Amino acid sequence: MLQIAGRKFSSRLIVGTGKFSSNSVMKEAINASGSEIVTVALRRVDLDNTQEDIIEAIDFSRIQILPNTSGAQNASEAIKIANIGRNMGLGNWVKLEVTPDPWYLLPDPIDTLKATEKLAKDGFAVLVYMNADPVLAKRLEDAGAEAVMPLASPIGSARGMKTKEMIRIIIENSNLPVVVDAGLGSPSDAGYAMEMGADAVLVNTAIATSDNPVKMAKAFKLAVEAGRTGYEAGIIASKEHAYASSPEKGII
Amino acid sequence: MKLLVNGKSRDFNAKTVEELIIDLKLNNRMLYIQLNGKPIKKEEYKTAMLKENDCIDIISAVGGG
Repeated sequence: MLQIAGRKFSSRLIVGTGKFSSNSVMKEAINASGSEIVTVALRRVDLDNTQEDIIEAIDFSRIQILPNTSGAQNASEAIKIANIGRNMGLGNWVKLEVTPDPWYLLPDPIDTLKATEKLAKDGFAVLVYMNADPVLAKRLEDAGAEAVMPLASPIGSARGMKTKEMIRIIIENSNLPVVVDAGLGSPSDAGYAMEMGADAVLVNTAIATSDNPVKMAKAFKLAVEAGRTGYEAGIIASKEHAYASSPEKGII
Repeated sequence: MKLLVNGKSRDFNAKTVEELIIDLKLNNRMLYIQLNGKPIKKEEYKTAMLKENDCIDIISAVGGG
């Protein structure tokens, strides 16, 4: 079972709630995904275009809500947003994101580390969005993070596991759950991350903006389960040449 | 009276934070509210009085990854 900050989860798929066409599609997709951890963002209410209440569509009895700090460009903005989420009543979990560059949305490692130290000290369960840097992953662990969330490729890019070699090292070294986040485009990308031994994956855009988000949520669920089951079963080593599957003796 | 809500100046009849969020149809939501930079707790919505040109920030959860 996946365990983060002392809480156990049977699903290893975390889903984001952005970009869905409606609350009802989102709700159905979350159900189809089987996810027990769901991310939300915090924003000023747009008075001219009051959107549906996203919180109303999330079943708190079954789902751990994970507010993110998206929009924060430095540590102090991220800390402020995290505290707003907690004061609002969303609990003490936070997905820390510090992204100063809007074009690639790559996380600032220095401010991410600073914010992790402060938020962990202040009693938050900090799940940290980070570049796939194994040394930073260890530093975040020391700073009190509850999970590291290395990016596979830039957010929403659907480019898949571009950072796989570094993610492999993070998984090898980490004492924390490793959640591969960002850039997973297809169910096979998620399955690949899980086969490598990732503890979980986070998917938003690939589900929400597909032609059929509910069906795609189910596809990611199956891929995550297949990948994890394969990892637990022990995937065999690859070889340079053929090894016959049929007996080599008694050939007719 | 004129209030500056989320950066926009509008006329409201509301006299308290509670009346304002009812006006805005946000009363059933989880919110974070600041009145002139000071956080207002949910139990204070009823008693937090508004006056001309007050600056109110209202934050809620939205879809995000």
